[in-house]
Amino acid sequence: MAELSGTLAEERLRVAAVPAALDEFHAALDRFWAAAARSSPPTPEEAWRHEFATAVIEIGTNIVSHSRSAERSPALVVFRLRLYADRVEACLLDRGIPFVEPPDHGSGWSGLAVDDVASLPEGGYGLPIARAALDGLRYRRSFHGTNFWHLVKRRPPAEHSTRTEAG
Amino acid sequence: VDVTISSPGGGVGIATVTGRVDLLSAAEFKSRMTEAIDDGNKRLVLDLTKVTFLDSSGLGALIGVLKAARQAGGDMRIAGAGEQARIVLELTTLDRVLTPYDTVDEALAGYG
Repeated sequence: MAELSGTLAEERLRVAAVPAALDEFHAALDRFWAAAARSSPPTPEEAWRHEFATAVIEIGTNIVSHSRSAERSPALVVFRLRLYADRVEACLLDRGIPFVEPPDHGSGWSGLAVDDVASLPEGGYGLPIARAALDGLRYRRSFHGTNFWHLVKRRPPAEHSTRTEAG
Repeated sequence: VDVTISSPGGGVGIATVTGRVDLLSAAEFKSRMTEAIDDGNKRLVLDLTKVTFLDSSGLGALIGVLKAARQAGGDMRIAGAGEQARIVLELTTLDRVLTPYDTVDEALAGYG
C-alpha cells in the first residue's frame, strides 16, 4: 500500500494535546527517521532532518500551548509523518480552538535588533523558525472545526534529480 | 533539563546543560540560570554539548539569560552546541548575538 501511494516511510500518532505529548512527538520522529533510514533513497543529511524535526516540534508545541477544545479539554492531536521520494511531509490535526497568528509574525528576521540585546523578544520565534526551516507551511480551519497544519520540506535538488534519473 | 553549575572563580560560571531545552523545561532552565547570576556567576559559559534539542522556548530562555547576565554587568556565552541547536540559532540569525563557541575553553578564553 505504501509503495502504491509513493510513501517510503510513515508514522502516525493520536495523542492528547498536553505538554507530555511533546515526548510522544519526539519518539514518533525517532521511529520515523529509523524507518526512513531503511528506505531508498536514504534520507538526506542530518541538518536537513534537524530542520524538518525542529519545524514539526514547533508546530506541535504551538498546538499543545494554545489548543484547547471548546467542548472538552484537552483537545486531541492527530500527527502524521510521510516520506516521499522528493519530499517529507507532516500533517497535524486538532479540534481545539482556531489558531490566530499574531500580527507581528511572519515578517522574517530583518527587524531583529541584534545590536540591542535588551530589546530582543524572548518569545514568538516558533512559527518563524518553522517557516524558515520548511519549503511550505499551511494552516487552515475546516467548517467542522478542525485545525489542519501541513508542513513540507523538499529533498535537496541534486539528490532528487539523481533519484529521477535512476528511476 | 538538568543544569550543573561550577564556579572556577573570577565571577565565571560554567553551566553544563543536559537534555531538551523546550516548552517543558525553558522556565526552569531560565530560573536556574538567573539564580546562578544572582549568586555571582555573572560571566556565564553554557556548555550545550549534552543538549539534545533546543526549541523556540529554549531560545527565548537563552535570550532571557543573556539579558540578565548583561544587566548584572556580565555576559553569557554558549559552547558545544550541537547541529540542531546551531540550526535554530542560524534560522533566527540569533547566532549574531549568541555566538556558538566550539568548546568551553574557547568561550572562556575571551573572558580573560
